[in-house]
Amino acid sequence: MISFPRVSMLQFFIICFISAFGVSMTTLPGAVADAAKEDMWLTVVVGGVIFLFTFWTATKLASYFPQNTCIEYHRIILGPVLGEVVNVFLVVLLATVPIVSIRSFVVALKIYLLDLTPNFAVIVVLMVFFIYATQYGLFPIIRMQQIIFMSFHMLFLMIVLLGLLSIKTINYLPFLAQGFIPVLKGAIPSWYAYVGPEFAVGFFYPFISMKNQVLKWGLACIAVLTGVYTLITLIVQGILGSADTAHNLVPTIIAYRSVEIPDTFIERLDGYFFIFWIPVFTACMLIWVYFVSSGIKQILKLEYNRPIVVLVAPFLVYFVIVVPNFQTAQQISQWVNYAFLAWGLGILPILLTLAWWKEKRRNVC
Amino acid sequence: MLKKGHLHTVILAGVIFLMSFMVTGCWDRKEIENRGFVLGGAIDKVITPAPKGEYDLPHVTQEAGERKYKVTVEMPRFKKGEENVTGGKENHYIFSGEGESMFQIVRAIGAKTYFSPFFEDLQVLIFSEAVAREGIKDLLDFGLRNPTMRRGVKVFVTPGRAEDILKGKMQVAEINSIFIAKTSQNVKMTPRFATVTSLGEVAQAIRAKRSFGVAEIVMENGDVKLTKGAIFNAEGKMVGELDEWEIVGGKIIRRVLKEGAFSIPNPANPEKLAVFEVVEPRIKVNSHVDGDKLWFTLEAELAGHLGENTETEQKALDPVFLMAVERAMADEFTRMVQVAYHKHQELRADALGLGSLVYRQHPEYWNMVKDRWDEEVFPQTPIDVNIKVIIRRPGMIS
Amino acid sequence: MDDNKENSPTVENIAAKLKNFKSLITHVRDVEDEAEVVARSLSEQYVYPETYQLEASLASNLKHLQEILSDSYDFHFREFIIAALNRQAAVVFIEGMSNQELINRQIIGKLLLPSATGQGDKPDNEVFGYLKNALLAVASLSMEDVMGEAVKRVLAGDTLLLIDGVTGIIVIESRKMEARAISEPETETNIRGSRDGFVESIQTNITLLRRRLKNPNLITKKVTIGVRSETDFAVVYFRGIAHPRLAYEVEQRLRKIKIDVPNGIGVIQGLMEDHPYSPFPTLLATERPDKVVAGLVEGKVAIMMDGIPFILLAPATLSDFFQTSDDYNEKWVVASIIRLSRYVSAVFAMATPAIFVAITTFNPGLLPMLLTVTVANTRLGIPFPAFIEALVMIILLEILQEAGVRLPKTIGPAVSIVGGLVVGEATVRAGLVSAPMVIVIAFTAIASFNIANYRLNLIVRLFRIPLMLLGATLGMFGVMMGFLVMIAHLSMLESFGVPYLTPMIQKNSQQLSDIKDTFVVAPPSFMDERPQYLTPEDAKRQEK
Repeated sequence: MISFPRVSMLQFFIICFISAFGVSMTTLPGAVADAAKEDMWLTVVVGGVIFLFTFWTATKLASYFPQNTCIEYHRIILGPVLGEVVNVFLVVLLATVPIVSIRSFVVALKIYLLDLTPNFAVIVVLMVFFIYATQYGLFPIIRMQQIIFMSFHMLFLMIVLLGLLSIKTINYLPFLAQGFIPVLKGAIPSWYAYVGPEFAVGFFYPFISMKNQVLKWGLACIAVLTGVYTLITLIVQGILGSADTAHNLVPTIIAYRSVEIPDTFIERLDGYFFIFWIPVFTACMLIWVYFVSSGIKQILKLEYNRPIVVLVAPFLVYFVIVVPNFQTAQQISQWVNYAFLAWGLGILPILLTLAWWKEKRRNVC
Repeated sequence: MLKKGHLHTVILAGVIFLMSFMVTGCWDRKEIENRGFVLGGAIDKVITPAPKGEYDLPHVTQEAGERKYKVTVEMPRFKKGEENVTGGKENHYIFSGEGESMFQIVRAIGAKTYFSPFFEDLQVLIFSEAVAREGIKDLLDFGLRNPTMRRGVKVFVTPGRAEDILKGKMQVAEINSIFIAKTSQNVKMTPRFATVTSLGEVAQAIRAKRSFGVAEIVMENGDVKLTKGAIFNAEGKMVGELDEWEIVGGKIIRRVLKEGAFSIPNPANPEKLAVFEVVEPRIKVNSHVDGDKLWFTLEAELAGHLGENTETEQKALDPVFLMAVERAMADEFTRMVQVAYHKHQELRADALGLGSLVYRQHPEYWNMVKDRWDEEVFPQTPIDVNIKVIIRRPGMIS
Repeated sequence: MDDNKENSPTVENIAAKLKNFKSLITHVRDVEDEAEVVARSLSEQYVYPETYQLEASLASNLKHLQEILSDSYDFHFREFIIAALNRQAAVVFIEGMSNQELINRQIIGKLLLPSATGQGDKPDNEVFGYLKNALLAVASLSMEDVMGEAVKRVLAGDTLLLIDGVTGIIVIESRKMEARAISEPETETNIRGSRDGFVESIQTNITLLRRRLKNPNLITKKVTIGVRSETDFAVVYFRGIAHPRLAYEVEQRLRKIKIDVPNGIGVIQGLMEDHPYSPFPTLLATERPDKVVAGLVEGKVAIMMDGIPFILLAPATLSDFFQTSDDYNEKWVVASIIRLSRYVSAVFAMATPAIFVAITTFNPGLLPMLLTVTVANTRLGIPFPAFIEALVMIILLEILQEAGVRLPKTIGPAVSIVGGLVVGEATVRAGLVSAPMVIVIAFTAIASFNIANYRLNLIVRLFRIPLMLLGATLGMFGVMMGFLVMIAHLSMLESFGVPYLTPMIQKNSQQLSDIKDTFVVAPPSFMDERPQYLTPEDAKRQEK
């Protein structure tokens, strides 16, 4: 009760899961179906396996600097100037996630729930919530994530499972008809779905109570995440078939529109899917807004990130609204995806090598 | 622990925000009784096509396109509790509009009434045969592009005017579309009723460039019947009809036959009947490729019981008799399958999902033939039918 | 011209002058009253008893006491001569607070008796000892050297004995308060639990606890709050179970309160809570001794106040407000279902109108199709939007509920008849409100009654309208955001360092055992550990 609050392993698991599980599950099947056809679910698994490596890199890197967040050790590894450049790049990259995701979310929301409501209203409501929720520091956010995870995520997953009622097994064949190359190609667009845990390690490592277990729990989380994504992809594939999945912009929602349970109170699933997606999405974005504000705070070397959220929020609102149309948003999200791919498979290993080299040299001296 | 001024700012911001919302908000608010819940839609050809641009008010003025289709929608007529009991008035509203673009027709209907059409609860979509013969692919785009439209909507074709099905007086005092939707839930129990296809399935077939079947609906004396099936080719044009036998055969090939009663002349006495009820069908359809050759095999084991034996002299437990019934029944099923298969071949439309089966089982072969499947390959592919009927029990009497 | 008119003896002028004269008389009366007030205010200055010195002379001591207390008529003193010592003495007490029987028989009666050993004065410094050992037949008495303390004691109901020549006042404990008898708790009734509830007297309340916990480790620490009222408070905890830091923190927070008169325990609660601006209570008020005992042995700390039949337990988490003592008297399966139903009711009581408004006016696609038609049929011809309909009904409900609470018990049922039956039925008949809305509101009300705790019930009612506002502007999205804001608020709250949502947000799997008394009630044999979040000194609860 009185001890210094620390992030426990369970909480870390939840943060990792939530940070990745936001908006991708609605678009992921569409993105992978295009390249991999009937093997789309395998693509998702492959994406998860590759991501394990990135997470391992991030954890290894963080373990060299147990008292520093990623912003701080970038400075240590790369020197003040280059480190600052990388940090600014990182924060901009982090900020694009809420921008792109909120945009897609609002589009979907407008299509299915609030037809005539202006984008602005929805975005401002979200931002006011983010500002309020981040006002009291890290631990209330974590508690909130835990509650949402235990309640809304579970309900959401239950609704996802109900989709199993209307799958057709024939949609899963043929298996590996075109070889393994399309599967690997499809893994590239699926990357964005996994992004999150590597930054959770970067930002929360100093606060974690049992640092030697981070890797174990993080990998477990990614495994669970991969499982959930694969399940969703399998269900969507089973309901729509690969051709229709590739043809739809938000295939998961379309798939759940096809699920009907006649003669029950929940006659149609899509509305409930959507409603429980709202808290799931909001929880995810909350973490990302926290990442951004905490990154800026550490670059500017301030003590609190409360005022930063208030200052950053209008910019986020502006950038979400400034994107003129859906095509542009798609284009941007594609580039963001590549940037994250470059970060996860390029920059992080380089940083790890540098850190390892520095450590070795210090040991020699 | 808590900064006073800070909290006040947040509260103040929240209050101002909420106030401004109350003043400007409620963009999407529409009271439930003011929504036009479209429960059924019917699409017909316009009877007397008028030249472009000369439509009167209820019809839609379209910048491009002709006055080609007539769309009729059925909405429930809401009434207070007492009226419900006494009946009297019709329990639905019918609105229609004409034009070529579905979207603009729907908007035009919205302009005629204060409750604008809302498609979330759409139950059935009926095409007239004339429209279906010309192709429904273009018409479905609206249904799939419009986010409020659901994919569970049941699609039907009717030989006559589609609007008559919505307008007609039903025996049961219920909204026509709801009645049709509820009736079609029973299709599984009646093997001769065509399988009801949903909009999503039609969309999937069109997307995958497959042929597909849709149930035909006929209205007679205030009842509806779904005894025929319409076959559409890959372009979404209706190319032919299946009769009741062909539907049973098609259902066996598509492995959707779940239960149902079938009768044959009694082996003991051809004047009388023997009725067999399928309860446990086990059907396997496979495709085989040998070099360039392709053939299908259908192996089925239809288990069930003797439902009726009108030749009362014959002992039902007699193994010779039962075997005779089984054999005759198997022949009957084989015949139905063959008839259905040949009909589809004749129509050059593989609505049986066999092409998809080839794709699943032999993707390389499929890549070679997929462009000429319906036209050339499918009509020449043989099927090997091997049906076995098992009578589990003869019923309560021997 | 004007002057002439003024001086001329017309009727109007005379009347005007008379009026002036009358007002002059009134004015004189005012001046008189004013003078009286000034005179009184001079003689009735605020008295600080500490400034008075005790002297050896009885007369001057009595004079001082009279100065301090004499304006009140319930203050009594009686002078007499102690026969055995042959000294002047006086007894001072306050009528109604002290035991007059004791004063008559055991004090004055005994002191008037002539000594058995014969008369003879004692030296001044031996008087107290002599009286204590030979004359006064009372259990507890002490010697006060300071006037301030003595005055406090007499105001608490004790009797002062002043003796000529003795610099000091003998204080004899003779409190006898008129108190309400122990009765069944009214706000927390139950079926199989104990029937005694706390009363207004802090002594009685401590007795109720001691009777249940016969253990020297039950510690009661006295704290006096109220610069002008000197109200007694007690911090009660179980030594060896409660975390020492927690007990210290509670005591410190109490001592820091500098209020003139604590006007009820709610004021104290507001002054010592972590988040006084939050509508959620972070201290649990109860009038059931068994609940307090359960809390104490879990490691919580109780705060008692004299004059209030409620006791605060700290820290309190949200789940504490969903527990009742009856939960532990039923079989665990039944109790678990009942407790779960309370959580569900809380959600429904808060959100049903909002969800109904949001679904019917924004997202009717969420309802089954036939239900949509049914609802729309009943809404036909209702002149108000669903939101206004719900708002009016909720306001009506609130008014009825509040009227029911404050009214005398004899009129209460009449309110519910008029409100519930007549108004509800008539509005539906008149076509002002649709029948489903009445059902929704009625369900909401009943669900809110199912929440065991009245304070939580109030909060749930408080959130109903904002949630509905959100539902009426943004549909289900708004309702969901409302929920999220509430979750964010709850996660922010802490009660004495314990997160408010505690047993629901476990830090790791070892702490999952706390869940067994949160949403459900585990079988008694499973409840072998105290809640981890209270970090009790001794975690074990029963030997297995």
